[in-house]
Amino acid sequence: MMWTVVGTAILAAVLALTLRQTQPVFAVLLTVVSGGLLFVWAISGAIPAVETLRSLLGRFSDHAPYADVLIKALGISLLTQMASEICRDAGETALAGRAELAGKVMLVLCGMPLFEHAVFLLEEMVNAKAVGG
Amino acid sequence: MDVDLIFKIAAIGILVAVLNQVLIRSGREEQAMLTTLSGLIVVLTIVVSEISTLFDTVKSAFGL
Repeated sequence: MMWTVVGTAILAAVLALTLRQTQPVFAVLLTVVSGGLLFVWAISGAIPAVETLRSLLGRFSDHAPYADVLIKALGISLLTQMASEICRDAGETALAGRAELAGKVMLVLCGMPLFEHAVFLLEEMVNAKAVGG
Repeated sequence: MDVDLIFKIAAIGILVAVLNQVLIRSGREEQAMLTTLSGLIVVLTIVVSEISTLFDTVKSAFGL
């Protein structure tokens, strides 16, 4: 597994370097495909770890979906990082910035239920203190 | 999803580069451009199917 990943990465880098002199578009597409291939390999290797994390975090939270939100945020970050790096490699820094912006917005939307839950807990604590004192 | 895909894209790229040079040298710029364009479309279809596989994997792994 590891040797395949290392060999594929070096091979794709050399081939992209060869193509970049004459046909830069094909070099970018080659890096997209090889990057996607390496990404899929890495993710399929990490699935057991993600499942373990999900079950461990699920043990501590009965009603709040902490683990789901965390793993979803991880996926969004990885995808938008990949997109923005491809854009930056292709020389489009502005598009890379927009992709990152969209990723940040999606992360905020993803974490909003947890924020609501935290505010709700805080409110309950303040009310309990007011009644008790 | 294999290393063959990388070789395929690199081969198409090199082939298109060579054809491009030959056609430009023989004074057929339009055909050279069309060759580049068709090679690009072929590679783009490969890339699109690959990206769809990537998205399916990420969706199933992270529960998006």
